[in-house]
Order: sequence, then structure tokens, then C-alpha cells
Amino acid sequence: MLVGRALGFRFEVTCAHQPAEIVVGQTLSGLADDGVSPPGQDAERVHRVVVDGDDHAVWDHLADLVVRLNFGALDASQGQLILHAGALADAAGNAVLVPGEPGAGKSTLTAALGLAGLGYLTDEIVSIDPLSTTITPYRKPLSLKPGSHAVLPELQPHPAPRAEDTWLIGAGQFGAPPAGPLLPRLVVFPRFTPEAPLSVEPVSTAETAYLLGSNAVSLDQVRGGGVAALIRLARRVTAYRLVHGDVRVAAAEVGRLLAREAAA
Amino acid sequence: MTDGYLAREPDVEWAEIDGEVLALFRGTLHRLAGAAGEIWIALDGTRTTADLAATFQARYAVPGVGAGVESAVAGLWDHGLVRMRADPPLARVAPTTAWTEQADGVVAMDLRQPEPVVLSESGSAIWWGVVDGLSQDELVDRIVTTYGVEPESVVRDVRATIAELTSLGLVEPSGMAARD
Repeated sequence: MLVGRALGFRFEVTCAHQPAEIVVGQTLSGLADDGVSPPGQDAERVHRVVVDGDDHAVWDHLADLVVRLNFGALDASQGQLILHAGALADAAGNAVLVPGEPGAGKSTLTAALGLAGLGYLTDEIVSIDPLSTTITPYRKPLSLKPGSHAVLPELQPHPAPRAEDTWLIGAGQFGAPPAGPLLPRLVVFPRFTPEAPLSVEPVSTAETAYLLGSNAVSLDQVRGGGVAALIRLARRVTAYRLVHGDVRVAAAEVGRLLAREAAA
Repeated sequence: MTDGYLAREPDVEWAEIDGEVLALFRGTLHRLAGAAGEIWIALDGTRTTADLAATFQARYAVPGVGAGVESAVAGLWDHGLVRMRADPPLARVAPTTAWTEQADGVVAMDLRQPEPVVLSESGSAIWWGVVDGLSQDELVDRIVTTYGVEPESVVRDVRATIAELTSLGLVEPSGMAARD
């Protein structure tokens, strides 16, 4: 049985046979914990899943589970500033946020940054303390849609999912974040445009706050106020709008920008 | 949209950042840049759309300012960010006033004067009505409902208290506020 936690939402996965157990273990490795509930954890709120069937059925189970985990993670993060974004960090805990609407290339760029050596924090739900702006990692499996498979073929999971399936890539494929505080330093708003040359344009603090808010969840429930949290975060980061036609080139540029922020 | 005195919707969380305003209302974030942000900051319940247009016309002295103000106000209205009231607020706290609430009531001070003023319980209730931007009728209704006293005596008390606070320089009547 694998026991894990998605931002405080506890889950248990039981597999009917060993091959499925290996796949589940690798895919959910970023969320596994020691199974010890924090004080006050309600045993009735634990989400339990049994995975069985052939390879494709295992991936189907995992895809359903990731959706449940996302909802559970959101539910367990009340009062936090929650951004729909990818996030990674360097070895010193300097983090880059990659917010974006569906189709902007957020997960693909996050994956490329992970392959380039940054520690993977999440590709979808960034949980930020509204006062300190520190990030709590949610190292769910990274979801890579079919349109991006050819761009990053080395991330294909095994056994191979169906061609039309979204790949679920375990956090173990990428680096782990450092143990210390993870503080956002850089925000990149990506836009993939085929054949486009790399373009990097600074974003003002006010626009950064607004764009982050446009990618936020339940802003009106943020502890201390959603607007206050957005402005606090926007003032602590440098932000860019990044248009690219090649995700590896974009990842190299983001890595350079993060290194510059870390050195500042 | 009918005309009246414009006030910010009280449930809006907002803040100014780099000359713009971010406003959060019912889960939706609004970015008020340019004229919309300036108008938002100017809204204090003492001005009509026409008052705002005149203020901004005087400030910028270029053609079309009035139409721009009307358009920006209509946008704020459409998003539910402002409310319209038939009556102006009774008064507003003067910009030179500092105040705080103590256990036994409000203490206010005209920063140009050496001594603070300690308000009685009823004076504090009236002060809070001013802070909340209530009209005279709204303030009288609140006090009558809260304390169960006769409306006629409350009207007299409110008028006398506002006159006294005005003479002390702690509040400004709304008519004066609307002219600036």
C-alpha cells in the first residue's frame, strides 16, 4: 500500500498486483510520506483507492486519482494563496512560478525546467503562505498532454499509456527541492507559439499582481485578503512575459533569469 | 444607471499599487487602471458622476474628460463595484483628523490642535455613522434601531453633534466635501 499526502489531503492506494504497485509507486513518488497522520487528522477523511486491471486501466485509475488529489489538495489549503501554475526551485530555494491559462504551455515548460535541473515543486497547484509567501510543494505527477509528447519524448512513462492519454510523470523524474524555505523570486508568463523566436518582456508589478490573481483560486478566501497577498507576492518577484517556439530554449532562458535573480 | 451619490461597494477588497487599483469583489479580480483607478480612489460617497466629471475636467483640462468619467463610472457600476445613493452622507472625517476607538468610546484629534476629544457613547455612535458614510436618515435609523429611542430626539442629537464636530474641525459636512 502506498500512503501519501497532497497538501494535507491524505490518501492510500492499494494495488491488486505487483506491476501496478511499481507504476503507482513511481508515479506518486513525490507525494509519498511516512503515513503518520498529523495531530487532529480525521481518519474518515482519508481517500482510499484500489488499483487493478491491465496497464491502461492502471493509468486510468491514476488519472482519476490525480483529479481527486487536486480537489483534496485545494480543500486542504484553505486560507492559502493558491495559484494555477507550475513551480520549481534551485538548490538555494529560489523559486520560479509558471502561471498560465490552459494551452499556454505551462506544464511543458515546467517539465523542461525540471529536466534542466531545477527542483520540481508542482505543475498545477502552487500553495503559497499569504504572509511569508513561502511555497508548500505539491509534487503531484506532472501532466503532459499529447501535444507535448513529441517535444519531450524522454519523459514517456512505462508501460506506455495510450497515444491519446495525458502522460503522468512522477516527480522522481526531476530533481527534488531543498529542505529549507522555498521563496518565489521569478514569475514567467509563458506563451508557446510555433516557430516564434524567443521573446522576453518585463511585466510591471501591478500587472504581475493582476495576472497572478487571474490565475488564482478562491482569492476571496485567502487569509488576510487576496489582494493584499497578491501585492505582497508581486513585490517580491521579478516577472516576464515569455513567448517561445522551442521549450528547451525557453527553459534555458528561464534558468538564466532565475540565476540572475538569485544572485541579485 | 440612475444618478446619485457614488460610493464604493463596502464588500470590495482593494488596494492601490503603482498608480493602479486591484479590486476583488465576489471572487472576481478587477484591475482599475487610468481613469477608473483615479475615480475609484476619489469615491467617498459625496460625489455624483457630474461632480466627478467636473473635478477631473478641472484637473486635466482636456476635451472629453467628462465622457471618459461617465464611461469609467458606468464600467464600475456594471461590475457591481459601486453603489448609488439618493442622499449624500451626512459628513465625512476631516483629512486633518486622527482617531481611534478606546474601550469607552471614540477618541478623535484635529492634528492642528493640542488636545484630543473624547466622545460620549452617543457621540461615538454618530462618529461611526460618519465613518460608514451614512446619510442623516440612515444614521438616525441605525441609532433608533440600536438604542430604541425616539427618532425626533435622535435627529436633534445628530444635528447638534455634527455641528459640534464640525466646529472642532473633526468632520466636514458633505456639501463641503463635494466641492473640493
